[in-house]
Amino acid sequence: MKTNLIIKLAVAITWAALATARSVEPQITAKTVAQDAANEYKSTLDQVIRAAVDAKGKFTLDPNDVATLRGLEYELLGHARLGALKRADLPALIFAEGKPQLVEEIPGRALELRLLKLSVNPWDDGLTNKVFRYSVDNSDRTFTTPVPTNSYPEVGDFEASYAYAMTLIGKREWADAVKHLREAAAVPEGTTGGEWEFQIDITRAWAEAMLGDLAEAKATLTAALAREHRCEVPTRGRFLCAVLGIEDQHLPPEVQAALPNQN
Amino acid sequence: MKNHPWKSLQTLVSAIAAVLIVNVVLPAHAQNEVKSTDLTQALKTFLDNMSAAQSSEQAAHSKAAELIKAADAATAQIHDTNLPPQSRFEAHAKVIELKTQAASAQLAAARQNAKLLAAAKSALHDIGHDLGSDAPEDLKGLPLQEDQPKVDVALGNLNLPDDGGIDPETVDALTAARNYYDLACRGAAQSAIGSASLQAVARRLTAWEAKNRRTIVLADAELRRLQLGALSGFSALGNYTLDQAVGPPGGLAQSSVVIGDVPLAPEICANGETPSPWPAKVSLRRALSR
Repeated sequence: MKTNLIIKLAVAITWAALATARSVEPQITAKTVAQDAANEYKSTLDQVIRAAVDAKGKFTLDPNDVATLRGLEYELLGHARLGALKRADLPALIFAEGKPQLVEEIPGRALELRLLKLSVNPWDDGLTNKVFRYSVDNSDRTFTTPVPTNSYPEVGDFEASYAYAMTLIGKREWADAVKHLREAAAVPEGTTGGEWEFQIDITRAWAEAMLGDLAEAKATLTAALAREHRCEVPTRGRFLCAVLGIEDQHLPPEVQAALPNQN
Repeated sequence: MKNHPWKSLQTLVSAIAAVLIVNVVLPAHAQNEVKSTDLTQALKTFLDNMSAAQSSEQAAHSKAAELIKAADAATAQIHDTNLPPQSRFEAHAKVIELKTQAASAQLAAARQNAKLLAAAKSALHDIGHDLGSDAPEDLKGLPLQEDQPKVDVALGNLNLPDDGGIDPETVDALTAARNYYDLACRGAAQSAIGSASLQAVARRLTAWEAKNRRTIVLADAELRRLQLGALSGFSALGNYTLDQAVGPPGGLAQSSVVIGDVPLAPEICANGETPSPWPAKVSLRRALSR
């Protein structure tokens, strides 16, 4: 009688333990594994970005990494087709959506896509329709931000250089854009407040990142932050600063989540 | 049964059952093990309710057809003036009883079917929900399937340092991922077909529900008409009985009124003579002046 009771108790305890174990164990569903794939894709791309940031010379990428990333893209797209991953949860796909032309563009394009997904345009400098003042030979002059144009600028015409550089950015011709952005920021004696030069330098740093030259981008951005700028550092600038390891810049949580992880 | 929605539904349901199992149950199984069981149950509930509704409607229709056939035979006796009035009244009562039974059978079946069809609709909604009706919407923002080969070609032009140096394992993994994507695209396309079939079934089910609602209202109205017919028979029978007791009607006559297709009481001529010329109704003034 007593033995029976003990056996029954033991069975009951075993069942209870099993039930508890089953309820605690996280359920593996299509959605969780699809999310795992998205996380793996992000961490793989994070490594690529970190490698680009740490690269001393020109950025290169192992073809195996390209194949791995592309394989993960196919997997993620398959998950999305089967409804296991919502479009909003799908990370920005460097090859399927970014379509980089050269291997050097991969890290920059990855960063650009991440910001675009958050509705932050790295190329929006906020200068449109703004009026700037500068001095030449002790006389004050003003100018309004010019609209992009195809006309090749004359030497020393910083306004025309800006207009032409913005057209090159639209065409994604980064090397030429960097050259003309440098000329655009070369205002004699500088603009009052320095916002013009500061924003152009941030754009230039982004263009350099798109070229895969993240060391140069870091130098540009560091110099831009060091010069006078009576304006806030925009999100695009703070994001690039955080990626390149330049001082602590406050970022909204969703933008912070787009940063490449350190590990 | 003419134009029965179930007949076309039956074909559709059997056709999509396999599609649902492959494209709904299996993906749901992949997504969540519990869901596959739920979905199988929903599919079973849907089919069970539809079958029960069909059987119920067919049984009620057969029964009503038999009863109406018998009522039609009895109707002939009502109008047969060679028969004695008692027999004609009995025939009239029989017609009303048979038609009442027919309408009641159809009304009961339609009421029962309203519940069954609602249960089937609910199960169909569950199936549609598990299928993920928002999935095709979500596919709109995805990179196009036909663009992917171009993307792969572009990867070869990236100026990679050592383009021939991909490990066999990496190649295998990439190939497997691409095959999975192709399979997923085919599966998504089949799911879209399954979803369209599901919508077609839902539309036909809605049409059947509407027909069932009309049957309920029509059968209910029929029963009320039959009650009126019975009342007219009762009043006619009362008059007839009174006639027998007090003699000739003295100019009053009852008319045979038909509301809808329900014959009311037959004309009564106590002595088998021609009916009285008095109209069925007289004005109060005329009645008072008599």
